[in-house]
Amino acid sequence: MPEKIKGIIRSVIFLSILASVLCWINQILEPKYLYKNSTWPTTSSYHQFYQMEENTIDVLFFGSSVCVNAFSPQEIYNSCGIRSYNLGSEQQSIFLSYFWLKEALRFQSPQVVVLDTKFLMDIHPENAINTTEGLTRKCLDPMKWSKVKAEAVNALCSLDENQSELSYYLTNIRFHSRWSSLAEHDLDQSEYQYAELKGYSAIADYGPQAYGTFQSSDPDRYENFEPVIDPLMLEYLDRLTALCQENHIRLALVSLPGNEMNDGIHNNLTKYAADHHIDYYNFCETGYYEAIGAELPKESVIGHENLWGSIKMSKYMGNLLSETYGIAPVPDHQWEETKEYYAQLIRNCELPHISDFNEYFKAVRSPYYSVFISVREDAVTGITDEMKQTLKDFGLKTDFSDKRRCSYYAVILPGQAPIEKTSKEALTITGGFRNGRSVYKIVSQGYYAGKASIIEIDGVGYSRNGRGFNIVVYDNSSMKVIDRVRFDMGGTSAIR
Amino acid sequence: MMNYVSFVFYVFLILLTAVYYILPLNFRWLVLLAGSGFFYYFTIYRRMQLVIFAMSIGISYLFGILIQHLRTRQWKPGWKQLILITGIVLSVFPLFGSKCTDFFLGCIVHKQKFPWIIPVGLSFYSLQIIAYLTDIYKGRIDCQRNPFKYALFISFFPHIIQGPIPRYQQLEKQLFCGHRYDSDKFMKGIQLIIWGFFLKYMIANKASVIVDTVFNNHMTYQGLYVAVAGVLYSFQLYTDFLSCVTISQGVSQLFGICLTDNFNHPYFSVSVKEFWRRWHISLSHWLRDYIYIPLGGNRGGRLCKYRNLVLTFVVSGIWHGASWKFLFWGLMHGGYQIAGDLTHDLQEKIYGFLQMPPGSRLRRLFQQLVTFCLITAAWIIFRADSLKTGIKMIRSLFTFRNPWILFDNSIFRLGLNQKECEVLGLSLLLLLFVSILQERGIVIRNWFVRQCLPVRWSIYLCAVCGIWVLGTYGFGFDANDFIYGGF
Repeated sequence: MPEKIKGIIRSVIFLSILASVLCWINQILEPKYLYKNSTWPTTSSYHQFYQMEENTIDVLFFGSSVCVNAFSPQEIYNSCGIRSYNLGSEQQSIFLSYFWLKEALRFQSPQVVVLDTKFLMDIHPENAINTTEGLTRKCLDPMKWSKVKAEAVNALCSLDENQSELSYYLTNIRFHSRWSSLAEHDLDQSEYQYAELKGYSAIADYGPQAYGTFQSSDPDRYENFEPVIDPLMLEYLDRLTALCQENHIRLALVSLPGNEMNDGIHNNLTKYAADHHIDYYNFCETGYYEAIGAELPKESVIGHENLWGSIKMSKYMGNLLSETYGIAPVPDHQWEETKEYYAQLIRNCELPHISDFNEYFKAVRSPYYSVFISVREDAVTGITDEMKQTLKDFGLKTDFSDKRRCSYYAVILPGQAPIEKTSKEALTITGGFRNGRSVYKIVSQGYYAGKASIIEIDGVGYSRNGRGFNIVVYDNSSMKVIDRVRFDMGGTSAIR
Repeated sequence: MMNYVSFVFYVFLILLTAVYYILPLNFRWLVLLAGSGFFYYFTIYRRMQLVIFAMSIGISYLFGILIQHLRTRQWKPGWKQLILITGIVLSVFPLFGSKCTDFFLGCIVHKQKFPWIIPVGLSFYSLQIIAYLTDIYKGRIDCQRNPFKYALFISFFPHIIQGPIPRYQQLEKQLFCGHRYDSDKFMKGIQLIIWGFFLKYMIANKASVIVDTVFNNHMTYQGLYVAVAGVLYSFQLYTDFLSCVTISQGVSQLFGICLTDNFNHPYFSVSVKEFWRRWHISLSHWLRDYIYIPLGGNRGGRLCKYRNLVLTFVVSGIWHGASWKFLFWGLMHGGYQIAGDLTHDLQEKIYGFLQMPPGSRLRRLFQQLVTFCLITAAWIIFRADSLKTGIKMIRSLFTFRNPWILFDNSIFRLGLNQKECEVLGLSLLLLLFVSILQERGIVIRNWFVRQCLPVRWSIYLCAVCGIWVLGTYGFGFDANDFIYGGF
């Protein structure tokens, strides 16, 4: 073979290797948002969307973070059998919703699209597309490369001169400095490829005590709309509406409780919906709010809805989809397989609200959890027989009757016998869990041994470090600490 | 805008290289001319810059022919000289005009500067034109009669922004003859480009983060902060300029053209005099040949020599920038050399007292250290906002005590975290290692060529990926321009 041809072949091979390695590096450097590290797990939600079987989703939700927290596809499936997916993301402006709908239509043929109207308002006037650059990237980066993404990036960069189109293709320009903060999930694809909740994200905190619903006072009042509306968002709403009509999809606009609302906004959106033959549901309105039936503060549908609020909202939405839009229930293994995960999520959310000692230990007795216990000063004085029995039922072997003012630790890992030790001296233990991927360190110092409690997971301290039992609960499926609590000497009520 | 580290430049370069080697040998210089025009057009921000640049090329081309024509005519030398000076003044008027008015308005009468339109590479191509016309006048070269070839000589894109400042006789044959593809040369060119990126992204840009923090907040950061920033600026300036020249050399080598070296490990110098033989060599040679020697050089006794030296460095200072600080910086270097010359005997006595004989390693190291400190002090003036600020910063080195900043992590709060500082430190060590090898005459690229394919590929991959990940560039950092491109 002539030397020149050999040279060309070698160059092509080398350049291919180089390009592959650089693409791989860029993929590692890109930030990832999953349950483990984010309230709104955008990366894993979008990756999961691409794993869904084609043409199996009947309803798609779009919108900002409030939409992500409001509509739970699993709850809708559990209650009405409707197959839906939530493609919302933090600060998802209508511009981004439009391009994500366009992308979704490459793989799915939904019958209904539900769009949250919050980002029709000019919420970030300082940003060209009503969203900060970081959150735009959070939404766009996980999109697969196609004409749709190229069009989105091109449109975005022509609107926002501060953004570089090239940096969406060569993401190292934007993210290469992340090399110094890479984590496990950056290097293990399997951690961000799946989102069992199908775009939904749960919040466990309770909401406000009260909410003032919206009641239309003047159906002919149209002012107070233009000053708050973003013309670009309106333009993209028109495009999104047209896209739905082209694809014979019914579009429903929704305003969620907590969104900015007045007569001007309500009447204009109602008129827009009527003019374009689409539907508009203003859930801020008293009628709808009461129909949803959420009871504050536990069932909060205000702003970022919590789990219990979203259950109510999703059930209501499921019924609406079923009755008004005629979406039929379809059994599907993709939703069936995640039922147990969802049930566990509900238990996770309930755990931080459990105060009673006995109930708490019953709740954390689950194969999903790793539990770490460390005593500071004294946990035994005042302990009752019922509490001792609870600890025994939980699986601990130690007899706490004669362990007054002693150091004590326990590690309860799924599928393993509890590791526990008690002593008058200070105690320290380190070990691995999650197949050695995570490392824990526990220090327990009783009354005569220094009075301290340390529970570290992967170098981060979680112990409340107060007198009594200090407990940290780690959820193995979402790979994060979901609760850290303390029960004082003989106390039956949790201290957080 | 296009520059030597922009993505579009490399797309342009790949296409240009392909076209260059596809066309017949005789036409290859035309590809370079077209490429240079294209590159220049995409580096400017106003079309008028292009017009001024073209006018300079046109005027100097015509004067080149005229001066050569007059060489054989029996005119009085004074007339010939007048034609030469007229040619130089007209050709490089934008440089003269901008420097003189900027200095007069900005530093003497303190008025707003005149809004000159400065073509890209003005300071560099002006010196190139002066050398060209003078060399024709002196009979060292013959003028180029093909206007397009002359335009290529002036505008050749790898050196237009930051040099090195080439002489016509160095480039004449290389530029116009057309080169056959030589894989060794080509790969060496790529190696130089990668090395250039390493210098720019791993050292210059990283150092600039700390340097900018300190120099832009000089009231906050005093004492040892100034020393740290001063030392880092010395390396930043060196590696930034060296990277640009290295990339220029690498790009030229892709077309089979070798540009001269502009640096020879300047911080290994044992005196300021030697420093100027190693730093920005093409400028130093230019100043020597077209300023210092015409002024009289070493002839006419010590006093004349010192006068010529000072005048040469004044020109050098003003060339870098029309302000007091650059003038002072030039005077500092002139002063260093005069002081070095005057105290030569005293220095020998001191070294004798310290038992450091000539040629000893320790003496050499000591001299290198002293020279580096003197050069760094001058760089502080060079980098500071103004002469007054620069002097204040140097004064704070001696009046403000804060040695604890070296131990309490204060350094890591200047914009670069500890990991980034460690990368910077390792990169500087690598530069030192390579420089020592080169100083000993070992050419790493020759060793590299001898290695088998997997070793070479692995090194390329590591180098590119290392810079890709660890370099300082992109979002949150905007220093695509090279420092010397601004002069």
